Amino acid sequence: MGIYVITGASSGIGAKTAEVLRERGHEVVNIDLNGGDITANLATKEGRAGALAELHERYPDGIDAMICNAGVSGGKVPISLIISLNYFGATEMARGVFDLLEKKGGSCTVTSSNSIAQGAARMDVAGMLNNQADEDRILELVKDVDPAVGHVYYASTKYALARWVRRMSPEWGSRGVRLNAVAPGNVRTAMTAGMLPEQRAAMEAIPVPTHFGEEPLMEPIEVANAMAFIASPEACGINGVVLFVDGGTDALLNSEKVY
Amino acid sequence: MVINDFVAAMQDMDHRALAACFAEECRLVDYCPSQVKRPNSFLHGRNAIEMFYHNRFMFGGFSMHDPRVVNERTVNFYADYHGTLIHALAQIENCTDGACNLDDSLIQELVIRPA
Repeated sequence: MGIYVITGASSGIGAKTAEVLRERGHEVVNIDLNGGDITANLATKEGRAGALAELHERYPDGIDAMICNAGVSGGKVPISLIISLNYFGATEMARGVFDLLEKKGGSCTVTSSNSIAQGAARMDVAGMLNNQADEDRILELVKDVDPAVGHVYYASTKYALARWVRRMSPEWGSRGVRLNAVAPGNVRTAMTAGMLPEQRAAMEAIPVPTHFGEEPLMEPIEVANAMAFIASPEACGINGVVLFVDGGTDALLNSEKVY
Repeated sequence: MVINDFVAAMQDMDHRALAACFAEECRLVDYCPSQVKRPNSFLHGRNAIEMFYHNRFMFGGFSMHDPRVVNERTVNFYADYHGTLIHALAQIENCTDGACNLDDSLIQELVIRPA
C-alpha cells in the first residue's frame, strides 16, 4: 500500500479523500492548520518549509502521491490569504516533494475549481502567478484589495493552478511523476448550509446536471473518488489533465470547448 | 401558441417556463453568441435548456428585448448577451403538432440566428 500525503484533509473534500484512501489500505498523512498529522500553515513560507522538512524526515525513501488540496474560498478572508494558500500553498508544496515522488514514480494532484471555466478569473492575476510567481511582490500588490471581490481572486488562483499543472506536467511526466488537477463544482460543506439567500440563488444558478431536480451541490465523496483515482497507479496514463468533477456543469455551460 | 409562451418565458427570465415550451427530446441552437466572440449554444433536451438558461438569466448572459412575434414560428427581437445587443430571429423549425399553432404544441427544434 502507498503513502499518500494530502493537504487540507481535516474537513471537506480533503477529509473525504483521506477517508477513501485509508479504506483502501493506504497510509495517509494530513497536513493542515488544525487537526493534521502535521500541523502547518501552508499560507506562509515558514509553514511550508516546516511541513516539507517533516515529510523528508519521515519518508526519506519517497512517497506515492501528493494531493495539494488545502485552499480557501473568497468573500471574507484577505486576498493575500487566497493567493498564498490556494496558489503558493499548492505549487510550492508540490515542488517541495518532487524528489520524494520521483523516488517512487508517484503522482501529484492539485485541487482547482470548475469556476475557472465560468469567466470569473482575472487573467492579469493568473498571469502574474504563473509568469512572475514572486509571492512577496504579488502580496504587496493586493494588500489593499477589498475582500468582497475575493471570488474573483479565488477563480484566478484556481485558474493559475490548473495552468501551472498544464505547463509543468510534461517535464514532470518525463521524470516519472504525473501531475494533474481536479476541478470540482460546488460541493456540499458546512459552509453551504449557512449561505445567505442571495448566495444560495447564485449557487442554484450553477446547475449540476447529475443532480438535476436536487440542490446543485456535489457530494464530497463524488470528488474524493475522483481524487483517489487520479492519484492512484490505475491512472498511470493520465498526466497534465484538468479533470472537471462537477456532474457536467462545465459541459452544460461550455459544450463547445472540446479542447 | 407556443411562440407566445416562449416569448413570455424569455421576457420573464423564467427558466422553468421556458423549458416547459419544449418537448423532452428537443434541440435549441443559438448562433448569435459568435457575433460577440462567445461560443454558440447547442442544447439538447428540455432539462439542459432549463439548466442552461437558469444560469444565463441569473448571471446576465441572455435576455430578450422588444420581441415582435412575426408568426406562429418566428419572433424578431434584440438578444442581450452580457450587455451586447444582437438583432435576432428565433425560428421554430419543428414542433409536436407540426403547425405550431395548437395550445399544447411543444417545440422540438428552435434556432436563434442573427437577423
